[in-house]
Amino acid sequence: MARMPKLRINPIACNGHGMCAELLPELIDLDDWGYPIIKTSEIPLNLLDMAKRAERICPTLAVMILEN
Amino acid sequence: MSSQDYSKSFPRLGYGGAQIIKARASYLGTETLVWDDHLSLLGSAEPYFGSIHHLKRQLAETEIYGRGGAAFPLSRKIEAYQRFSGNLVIAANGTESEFLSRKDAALLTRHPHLVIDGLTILASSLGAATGHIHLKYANAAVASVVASALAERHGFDPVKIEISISNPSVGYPSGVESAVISAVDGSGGKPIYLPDRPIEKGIKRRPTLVSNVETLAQLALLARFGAKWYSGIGTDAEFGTRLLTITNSDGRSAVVEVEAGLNVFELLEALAINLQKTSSVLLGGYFGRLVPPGQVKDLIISAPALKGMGLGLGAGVIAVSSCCPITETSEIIRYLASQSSGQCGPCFNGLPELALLWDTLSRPGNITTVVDEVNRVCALVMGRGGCAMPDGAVILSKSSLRYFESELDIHRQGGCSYSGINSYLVPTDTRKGIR
Repeated sequence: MARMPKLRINPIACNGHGMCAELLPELIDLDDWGYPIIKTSEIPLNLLDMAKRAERICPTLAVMILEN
Repeated sequence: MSSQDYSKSFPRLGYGGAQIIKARASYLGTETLVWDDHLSLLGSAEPYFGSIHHLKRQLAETEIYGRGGAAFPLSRKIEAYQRFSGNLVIAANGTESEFLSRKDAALLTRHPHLVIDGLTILASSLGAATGHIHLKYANAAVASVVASALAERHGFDPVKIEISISNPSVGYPSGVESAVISAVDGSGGKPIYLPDRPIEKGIKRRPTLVSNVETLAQLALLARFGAKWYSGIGTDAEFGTRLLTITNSDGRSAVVEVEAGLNVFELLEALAINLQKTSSVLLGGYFGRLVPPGQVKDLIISAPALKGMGLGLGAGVIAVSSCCPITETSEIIRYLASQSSGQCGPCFNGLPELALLWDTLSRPGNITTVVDEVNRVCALVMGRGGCAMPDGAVILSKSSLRYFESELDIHRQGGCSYSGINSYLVPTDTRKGIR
């Protein structure tokens, strides 16, 4: 079975816009200061489209999907 | 002295310096060994250029743990970068951004050619065409020694070697691997996002191996004299020697070469450092831990042995304090917060919060909820920076909460055991004023 793609945030690029957490509340929380905390890095198939949307929409291009 | 004599003796890097403990600890010599001195002492490194099999064979017998802070096994680093061959760039990291560390500057001043030998041996063995020696901006004297050394051996090294200087505005994170790459590339010298190892797109977007300057000097000795010689000093826990910067509670410091396996208590005693008046010992630098003096007798100079105890030597810093350990922790966290590059939210938001919480802990009063809050903020910060500096603040916070619980109790009851004693662990310009 193929491994699930993984979600990764570039903390240097991230400016805490928080859009990723809006789109993926199942995988991402925001910390006290509005920066994303990845709860689960494995992206289940049913959330992959939404994750790809988060990757495209992030204003600082800090969201990354690593396909295995 | 011929290389034959040298090969039998301790000190090694400390050759020519005064001995502290016979055959186990020595100061470093201070005068630069110029090209002729170097050649007559050690001979030419040329036979070991381009000898990857020789290098790997020696490292298979006796490991060198990286001396920049992470204690990463050199054999594994070489293994990871071997596949890149001709495309590879090697950077010798002499940034030494750890405030209390002086050993890299002392080594480069004394043995510039040994460091360059190590860089050339490694680069030529891995097929790298370019080497960089990256130095701290504040130490022009060291840069001048290294530049003179490169001029002396012009045409000798089969690798092109260039000197670069760290960015003064970056501070503590300037020594981070990715910050070195950014600085050498002229991209500002702040940490950049390079989460994967080996680094495939480093300097000039080429695979880049970064190694501390002392690691390279040790490698140059291992390549020359072989594993049997190298492991003639030390214990099963770790072979060879290492450089340490020891700072006393009056702020005076010394760079020493010590045998691996030496007991830290024995070393401090030989340096006439009085542990009776000591409240804590900083082991490993700001990335390390403050440990209670009572624990010092259990500590030995060995990366793997200390790792087993959840400790480390970091960049080789041991500093003694007679100040309140809670206040010391507070001062170090405040310093780290001041050093953020301002790039990652959890760092530039989290560390000032952590510093404020520790400031409260350092003042006598009701602090129970503050301790809980330290733990909560630590969990928010850990592992979430682009470099590991914020992790250092978390590791120190957690260990100080654990080690100095009884002092925290005294603070809770409105007291402090150490009022009015100076701290020398952090730069004075970030200190809030010692009570």
